[in-house]
Amino acid sequence: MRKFFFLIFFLSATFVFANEVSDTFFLANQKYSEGNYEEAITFYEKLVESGIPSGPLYYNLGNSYMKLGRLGKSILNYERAKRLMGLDEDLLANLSYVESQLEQAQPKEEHRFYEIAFFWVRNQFTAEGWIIFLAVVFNLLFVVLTLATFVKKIQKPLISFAWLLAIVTAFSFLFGFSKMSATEKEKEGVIVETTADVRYSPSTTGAVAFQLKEGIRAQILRKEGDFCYIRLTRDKTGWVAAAMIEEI
Amino acid sequence: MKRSLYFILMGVFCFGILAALADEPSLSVSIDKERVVIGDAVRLTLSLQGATSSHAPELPPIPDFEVQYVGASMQSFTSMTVIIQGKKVEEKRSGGGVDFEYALTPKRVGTLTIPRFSFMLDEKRYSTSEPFVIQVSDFTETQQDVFLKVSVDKETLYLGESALLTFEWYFDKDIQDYSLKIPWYGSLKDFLVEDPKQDPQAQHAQIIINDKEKMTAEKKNVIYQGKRYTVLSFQKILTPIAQGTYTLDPAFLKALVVKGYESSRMEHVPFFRYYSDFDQFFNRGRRAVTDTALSRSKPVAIAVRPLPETNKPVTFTGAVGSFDFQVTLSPEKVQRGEPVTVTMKVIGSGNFNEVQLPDFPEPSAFKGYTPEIKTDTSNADGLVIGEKTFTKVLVGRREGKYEIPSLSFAYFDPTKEKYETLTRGPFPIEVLPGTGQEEPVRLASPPPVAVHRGKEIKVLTQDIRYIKTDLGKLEGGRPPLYQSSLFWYLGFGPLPLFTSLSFLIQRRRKRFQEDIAFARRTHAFKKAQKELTESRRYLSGGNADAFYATLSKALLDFLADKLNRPLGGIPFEAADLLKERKVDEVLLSDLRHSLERLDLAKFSAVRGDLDEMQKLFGNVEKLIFQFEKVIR
Repeated sequence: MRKFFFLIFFLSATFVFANEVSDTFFLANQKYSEGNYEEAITFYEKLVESGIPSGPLYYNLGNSYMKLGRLGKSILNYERAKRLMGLDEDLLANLSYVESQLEQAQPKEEHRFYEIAFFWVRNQFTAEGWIIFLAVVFNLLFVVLTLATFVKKIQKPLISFAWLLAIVTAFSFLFGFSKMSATEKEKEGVIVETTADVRYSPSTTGAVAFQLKEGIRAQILRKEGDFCYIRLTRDKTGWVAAAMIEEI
Repeated sequence: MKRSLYFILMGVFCFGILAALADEPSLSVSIDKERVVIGDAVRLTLSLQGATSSHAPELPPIPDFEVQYVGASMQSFTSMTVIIQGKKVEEKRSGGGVDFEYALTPKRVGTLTIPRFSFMLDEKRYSTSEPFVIQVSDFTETQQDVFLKVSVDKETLYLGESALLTFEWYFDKDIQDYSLKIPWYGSLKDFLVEDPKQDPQAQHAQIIINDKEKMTAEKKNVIYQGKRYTVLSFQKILTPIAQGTYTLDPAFLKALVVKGYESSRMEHVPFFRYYSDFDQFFNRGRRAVTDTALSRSKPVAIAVRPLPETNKPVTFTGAVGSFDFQVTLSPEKVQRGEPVTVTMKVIGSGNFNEVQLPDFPEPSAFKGYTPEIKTDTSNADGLVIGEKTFTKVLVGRREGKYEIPSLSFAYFDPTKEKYETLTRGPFPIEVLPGTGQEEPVRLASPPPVAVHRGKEIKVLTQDIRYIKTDLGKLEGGRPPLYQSSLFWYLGFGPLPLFTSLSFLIQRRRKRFQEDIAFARRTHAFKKAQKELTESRRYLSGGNADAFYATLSKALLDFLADKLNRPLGGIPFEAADLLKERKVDEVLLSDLRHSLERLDLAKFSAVRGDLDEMQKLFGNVEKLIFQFEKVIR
């Protein structure tokens, strides 16, 4: 009986929480449509803080920041939304629009041909996508091998196919684990303040190597105190105050 | 009585026929005059009594006349009451109908005939009964008060070359009414006709041409041959699209020219005489005295020549006129990913609709967008002037130094009577390494993706898209699959295991089929176990003969299978063969002993007691176990 009451309490608490979330979201949307973007942001951020994993929430937050001209925050939230919503047309359009408004162009790393090819292939899937693909081809390989063991009549073509699958499996393994490692280790951040000084050392007295404008994405390699060591390209690395950059 | 009835019936019958005939519309044709001067028109009226159609019948072509439909008018109705032998039989409405009027303008002087002709109306054929003879006389323009002039600035043209046609109507007196016929107005099919820009500072007046079309003419005062005239004029730019000789038929004017004014009777009234200014203001009290004036312009001949075939450049596309060709490339040095605009411009006078600018293949290191073509023309001094611009955007994809090949534009210059080819370039472009940003390219206007017939949709303002109103599925917090051990176990475990097992089983099965020694060796122990079980059963059942036989068989079969030898020789050679395999001597001694006991029991009547039999069974069982371990 006690268990039953506990279940009822748990379910009703969940229901109340869900209602509260949708009410806050509705309120925030209303503020946005009234043009009151600052208040809309307050409500959206409240939902983000409560740990709501929603792509539209980040998308709307990105929109609100864009309307206030805070391009860095806007890109940050669009990127967060992208991880949850994937290839949403509206999201990609808005992200592209905000990028076109940036004061500074995103520096691109110069890669050799094979590196470009490798990264291009690697970026066609997420780490999870690659691992699922690997599982599929790997299992398919063993199905084909099993068939080849028992069905003698078509053993030759099955063996050729198994070779092909073995090669695909090997490449999937390579790309999958590379992507997984990149996803787990490489943290990406966005400059959220108007201008951020990138220094040679993690100190406010360190010489400024270059400046980044808001909205620029950088790889966060490690943190030390109030500074993050960031990397844009091979020759553009340095320390930036942690408050200037937010991890996606 | 019978006879009178007969006549009555006959009368009714005849009336019926007549009434039926009266229902058919009847045609009568008339003309308003039999003598006209050249340029004036004869009015031909087709009266169709009883017809109700308002669609004008189309007349066949009448030789020597130009036929133009003027309009239709309805006739009035009349009533008819039929009375037979003092009795009103029927009241019938007859008459009523339509008059169709046509203006027939003679094309030449002389005695002309409008022949009999037929036409269709409401699926019925009508024929005129008699021809009409018209006397067309010429007239001499004795009057210098009113006259027409039609002229072209060039009487011989090349195909595509423009000429300026000018129509002028001179008069020095007031015109009360007029009829102006310009046969070529609105019907020049082999020419592109354009209206030159009118001078907004000039005075304008509206004139009616061919009784229906309104035209705004420029009005000015000029001195011509020492006399002051008012001139109404308009111009047309003609560009021939087909070669041949064309004659613009004379324009004809019939005008009522005011010669003077007669005093009205009102002037005899003292009040109106006193207030003569007031009277004049309303133009009452004066009656115009008019005279009919006729005028005809001279015909204008235009000869259109084809363009010469000799020395015609390959790049010539039909442009005729006088042009300049400009090509600009801006900027000449760009960073990779930035656009370069190639602008080609043809400026001058001529037939811009035939001007085609040369497209060019972009260098391989560039991405080219569909060119934008813009034409802007106006006219001045009777010439179509303007420019045609061709803008192509190229985006450098690889750094390096490149070149756009030289570009040529060819046209025919009618004044020089020869083809001209203008060549510009080549143009060097340098692509610098830049930021390395290839896409997206920010252009002032987005490049057109495909060629459409209609206009592209223009994006007026750019902004972000609206917010989402649905929170969506709240599932983003799930850790990625690859972080779960279960995923790895289930995703990568079972199938390889299954495949490996299948493979092993298959291999073993194959070996059993191919390797008899292996098959015997493998199965030996299992077989022996079976036989031992059977033997034990005989032991517990007290069947000594069967016990010894099955126990002996179990041991010998086992050894034969294990050593892959025929069963018969085993009792004699088993010990030696096992010795070769370095089997322990104690075991061999036990084997010999057991075989002896079994032989003795098998071939003689000597049987041991139950204890001994159990001991022997235990020994054989132990031996089989031991050999199973030793012999592989």
